[in-house]
Amino acid sequence: MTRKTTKTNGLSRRSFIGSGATLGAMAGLGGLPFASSAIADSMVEGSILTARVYADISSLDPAFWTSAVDAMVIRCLFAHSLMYDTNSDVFEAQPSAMKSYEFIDDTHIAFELHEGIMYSGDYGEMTAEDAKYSFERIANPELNSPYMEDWATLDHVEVTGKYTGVIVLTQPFAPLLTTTLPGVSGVILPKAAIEDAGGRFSVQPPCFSGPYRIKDWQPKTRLILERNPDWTLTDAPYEELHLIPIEDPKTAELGFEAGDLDFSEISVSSIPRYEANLPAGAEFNKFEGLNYYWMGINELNDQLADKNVRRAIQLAVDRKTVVDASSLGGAVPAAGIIAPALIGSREANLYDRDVEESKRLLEEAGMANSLNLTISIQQTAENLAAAQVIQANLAEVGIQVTINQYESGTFWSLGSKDEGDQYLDLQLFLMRFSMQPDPSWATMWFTPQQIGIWNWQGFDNAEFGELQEAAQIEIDTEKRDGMYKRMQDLMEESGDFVFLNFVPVGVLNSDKVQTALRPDGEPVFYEFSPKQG
Amino acid sequence: MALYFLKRLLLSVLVVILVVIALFLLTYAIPGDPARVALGPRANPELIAEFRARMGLDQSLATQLYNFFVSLLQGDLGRDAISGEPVLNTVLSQFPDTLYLVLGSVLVALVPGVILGILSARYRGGIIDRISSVLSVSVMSVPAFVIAIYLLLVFSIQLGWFPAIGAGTGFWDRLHRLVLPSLALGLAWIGYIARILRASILEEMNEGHVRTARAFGLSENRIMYDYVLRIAVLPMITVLGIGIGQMLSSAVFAEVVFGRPGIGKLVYDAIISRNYPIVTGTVLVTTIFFVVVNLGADLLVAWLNPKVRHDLSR
Repeated sequence: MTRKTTKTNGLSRRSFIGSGATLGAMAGLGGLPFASSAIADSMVEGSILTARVYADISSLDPAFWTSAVDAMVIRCLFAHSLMYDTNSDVFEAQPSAMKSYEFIDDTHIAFELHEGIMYSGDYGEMTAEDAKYSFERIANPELNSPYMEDWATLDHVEVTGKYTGVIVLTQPFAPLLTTTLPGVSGVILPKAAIEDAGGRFSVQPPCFSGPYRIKDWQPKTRLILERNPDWTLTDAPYEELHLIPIEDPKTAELGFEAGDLDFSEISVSSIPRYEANLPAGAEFNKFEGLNYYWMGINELNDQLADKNVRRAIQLAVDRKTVVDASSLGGAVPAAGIIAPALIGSREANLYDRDVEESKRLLEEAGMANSLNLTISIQQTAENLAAAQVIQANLAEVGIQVTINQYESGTFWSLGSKDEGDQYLDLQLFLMRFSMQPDPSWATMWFTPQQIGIWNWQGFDNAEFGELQEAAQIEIDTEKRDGMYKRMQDLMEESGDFVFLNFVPVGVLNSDKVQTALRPDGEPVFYEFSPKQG
Repeated sequence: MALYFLKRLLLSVLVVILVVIALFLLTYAIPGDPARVALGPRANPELIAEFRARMGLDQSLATQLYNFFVSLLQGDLGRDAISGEPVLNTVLSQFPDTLYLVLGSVLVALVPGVILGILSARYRGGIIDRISSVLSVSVMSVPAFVIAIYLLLVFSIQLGWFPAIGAGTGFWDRLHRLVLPSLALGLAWIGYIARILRASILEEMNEGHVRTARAFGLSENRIMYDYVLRIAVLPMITVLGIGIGQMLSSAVFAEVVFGRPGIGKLVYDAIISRNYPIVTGTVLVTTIFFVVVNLGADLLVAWLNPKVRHDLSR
């Protein structure tokens, strides 16, 4: 990911600790205390970090979390198998609760947990039995976890010792190290705690095992996390983390400027303003995010059934102007749906703006100056700006476009088969999907099985579906890279997609705070620290 | 008076029931699947079905409505569709912040509004009356959210006198954070209160009992405070009762702009996420509050106005 910052950040604490852990392991040191003495100095008593999160927590159960905010908080509350590096340009996961892991072969991964990771309450120490329970729990079809696919090829976990085990897969599984183990599905919890909670929980975890624990939660008001005294794996520099749910980024920006917040993500349209003019005492960082934004063209709609008509629309759109308008210059056009830092990222689009060719194709399809379409968007200033440019672009080739704006609840039902035949009426639409750092997350929504669910384009390509399955189990990075590139070629070739941009992420922080951010700008709050001096 | 109270109470209960029924019909008429919104993109058909069953969404509208009223009689407003927390707890945790905001706004509207109203009537046609008239109309015509943004920019960002977001903790912090949102919501009502009170005072000044008081040689101050205001405030009380409802619905702007928790923001978010139990629970509590306030206002007017009191006792 490309990170642009107003200040140069030094060596990240995590990479330092990671190096220390490696050296420690090499020297045969067991247990945790090696990290504690080196990092104890950064634990500041009485320190509070006040940060904006875009929503309130809704479920902290690793099997049933629903939003990125849930994941951010889960990261603070529970020990994860692996954790992504922060303040790095690439997504790389390092062992966390797992002291080490090793591929015995493509389907057997041996792991060893750190000793001494304690659960709060009477749930004792983390063991390999807990890892077995936690991973198999999410994979169990009976639980019906939405994250079952994170463990799609898990056969079972074999416990070989108190802290050691082997993850046994039925087939190789490429996202295991990129998203499953470093993600929420890699959280390890004790069976007894989950059973005491009745099999699942929402916002009141039965125990904690991470750097922080919940001190107080006032719904929609604030979540206060306090340092977990049982956590010794890494430091937890702030004594308390105050996470304030503020949906509207503009409100958060005002709150930051007024000094009420130490950290906040800002709106895309405010990125150029803060790049040009930073408030006193603030630092600004910009990241090219993973989330992707595109215009969909529904081939199931009668007027768009002809591929030449869809191609004409693709060729008429001036992607750079659309992206400039929607992000106020904050983003650049994308060449696909897989961000540049991930494997499978393409370097160029197959089709770019060509007004004359667009007109010719419309003429050939008998649609010259006779096509009236709608573009459906969620009601935001960014979407409206993009839609207006597209409207003007298409008018140039003789296509009249009406912009239909919807609030989010209605918008997200437009392409759903469950809501009747309205998904066939959908024509053009602007969409933004969130993403995890593995290319499979980008492409999984466009398989034939997803038509009428999340594949609103009606994009129906058997080769794409086969590649999606094959790429999941392909562990040769080069081959996998080629597969995802081919999949994006197929998407664009179909005439169903106009790739717009990866949504940039802008974050503001007080210059008294040392942030810890993933390559896509997502905060890892428990690694934030007060700057000394 | 007791019979009047009983009649009004029954009417209020009827209003609440009708509002809940209308709300049920409206929320279920709008498109959007709460299961899909709540569960996110990874939801599979089994999970969606399980969610619908858990929330009772797989039942007919009539059954859902019946179940809601049965639960309501047991003091249960259901569970949050997303977090699974009891709706009543969530709503009650948000309600005080909105209540403080509305009370703060009433105070902002009432104190200057009454003073301006009295002065405008007392010095009718004078400079105070003219200034008050211009100010009232100007402030009334500016939407609350515009006032809110300017207040933030000036008093939080530029001057740094007040925090920009949040409801705070502890009495003084809460009070400090209440000032700007209360001003944003209450300012527009200063004009209403002042104009209504002015008109009412002027009307009352021409009544026979005031002329009689003057004939007896009572001072203007005594006439104003003992004879005129007691009656002149009655229309203002009625308007204020309705105004509190208006402030409750405007609270969402102040809550979003000032990043405050509260009922307005809660219901706004719940509508966006199709969290029907929260929508219904919040509107129910708000409606009950509004109905109670208006019932109180009507009873107060009846009690304060000797003519109404007399009519009711016959």
